[in-house]
Amino acid sequence: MYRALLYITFALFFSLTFSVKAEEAYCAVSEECREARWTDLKQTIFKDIDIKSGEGIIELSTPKRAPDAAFVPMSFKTHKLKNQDDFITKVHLVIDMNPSPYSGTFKFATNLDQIELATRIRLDAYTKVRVIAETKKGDYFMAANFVKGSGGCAAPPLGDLDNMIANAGKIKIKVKNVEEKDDIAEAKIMISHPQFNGLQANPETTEMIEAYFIYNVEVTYNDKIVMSLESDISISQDPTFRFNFPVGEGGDLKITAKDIDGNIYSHSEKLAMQDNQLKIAFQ
Amino acid sequence: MKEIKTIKFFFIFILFFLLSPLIIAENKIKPLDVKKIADGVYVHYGKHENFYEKEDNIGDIANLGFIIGDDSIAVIDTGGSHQVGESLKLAIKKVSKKPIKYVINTHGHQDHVFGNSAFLSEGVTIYGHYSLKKFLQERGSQYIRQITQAGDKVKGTSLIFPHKVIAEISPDQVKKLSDEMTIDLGNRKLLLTSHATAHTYSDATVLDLKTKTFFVGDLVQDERTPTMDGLVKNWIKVLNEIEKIDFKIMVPGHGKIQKDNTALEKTKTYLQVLYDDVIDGLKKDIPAEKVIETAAQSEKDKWVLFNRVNPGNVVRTFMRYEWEY
Repeated sequence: MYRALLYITFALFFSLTFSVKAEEAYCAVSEECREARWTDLKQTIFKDIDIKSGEGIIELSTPKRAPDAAFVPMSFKTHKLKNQDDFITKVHLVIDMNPSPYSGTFKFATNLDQIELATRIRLDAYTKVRVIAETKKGDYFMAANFVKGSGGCAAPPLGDLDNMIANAGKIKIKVKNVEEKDDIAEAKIMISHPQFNGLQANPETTEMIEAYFIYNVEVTYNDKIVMSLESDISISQDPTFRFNFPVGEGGDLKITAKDIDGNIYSHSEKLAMQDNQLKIAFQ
Repeated sequence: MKEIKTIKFFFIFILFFLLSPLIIAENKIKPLDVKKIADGVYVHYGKHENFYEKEDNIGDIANLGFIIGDDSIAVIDTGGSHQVGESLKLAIKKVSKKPIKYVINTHGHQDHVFGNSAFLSEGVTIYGHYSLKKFLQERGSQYIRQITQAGDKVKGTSLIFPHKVIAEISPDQVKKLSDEMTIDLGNRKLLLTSHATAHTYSDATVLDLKTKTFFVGDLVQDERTPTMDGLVKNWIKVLNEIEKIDFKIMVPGHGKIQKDNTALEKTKTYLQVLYDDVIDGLKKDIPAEKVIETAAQSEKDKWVLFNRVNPGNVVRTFMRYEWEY
């Protein structure tokens, strides 16, 4: 009789102690837990591909602590590469602890020896953020940072809901020369979109807002792709991308964005050199 | 026989272990320290810590207050958890046996409203800005998650919406006649005002007309870095209006009580510098991550927790005005 009670008490005691340690909370403090999580994710996303350390190839920059988990600035930059075969054509973005960790794949112009991109992401919990660069010849290199920040996925939209929906799809382009590089320009692309991820509540009704986000962005320059993104729910409201592209003598920069409701938004600008400065030409 | 005795002893030992957190938790609720700042007006000062972050932080970070009239008591903000609310209730009961009839929330942030639940058993009516309910609904899923993540130390904390809005509504309940209203605690009237979007879009102030004690919530902050969760420009505008109000003692949402507009001016200066620096960054097309490092840095030494609060203010301000430049 006592023995049985004793076992029950033991069982209760242990279940109480350990059940509260959900993976999320545990991974916030344990590197071991993060590694285990990544092993699982790596297997699911990349299967048996060998991913090498990105040191000397790709650098990821994130704040150590998210200023606001719904808008976490992140950027990556590759080192200058000599061999054409080592040029980076794709960069995969993985946010380990987000509801949908595989957050996107960026593609770039194939003739760039150095890639730079900046955007803003949402973080649901303290997490590793990873960028995995894929080269022309099929090598993979990873850079990863741990970022403290949580609640960014359920965070309410910034601004007025109706306004946001009415303005969805507005696009703005900014360009400028990159210092000391005649042939490279920097583009900043802003797309107005609420990016509802299905995890936010509507203030009026308290019901969850249905997911409504951009899953594909394509930027072409003179009809050649210079940046494209297949993405998921982790890109922040009003997606913004800053990246480099080979500029030449000028031409048409065109953006096309698609959201999961089937809307296609596009916008283009004519770029021209004026006094050695790349400008948006007045039409 | 001996074996059973040992097991029995062991069993009691384990049981004690199991119950000990509950026993300790029960004992933890002690009345909050409160200070009398005017006749019938009391304030509890919150600690300048990060919300729920340290193990012993149960959300006691905001200034809370209560005002005692001839007939009843009004509570202004209830703290960052059910536990803080309970402790505040104990503190009030130590001072006065009069019924607690009103709770007024100065805005919808966690550290000011999460203690509301502790006062429901008193049969209080909770007042808040006319947009407070919307604000709390919007934050609902995020806030509840935060409470769950904090675990046992804030057990029982829940989101309680205001029962009544701070506004004068037409008899047919359709039109808002004014953003102001008064409540009477018995020979003591409080003027409640809902403000336009500033610190948040749910900011309200409480002016005790008897002692001219002015509870301004986080519209004015002293010591702790203000959190910008509304609109910078509007906030400055609202401060310009509040500045004209005649008061004897101002109780900011965080930091020390004020005899004049020093803290108000300090808050305003921070906001102006924040706004100017972010707009300057936008005009020069400097990326957000760089603007975070530089914006409002000249204000750094004037505030506590600056490095934790300022970056978020910069990002949110940057996002708001990004399309205009």
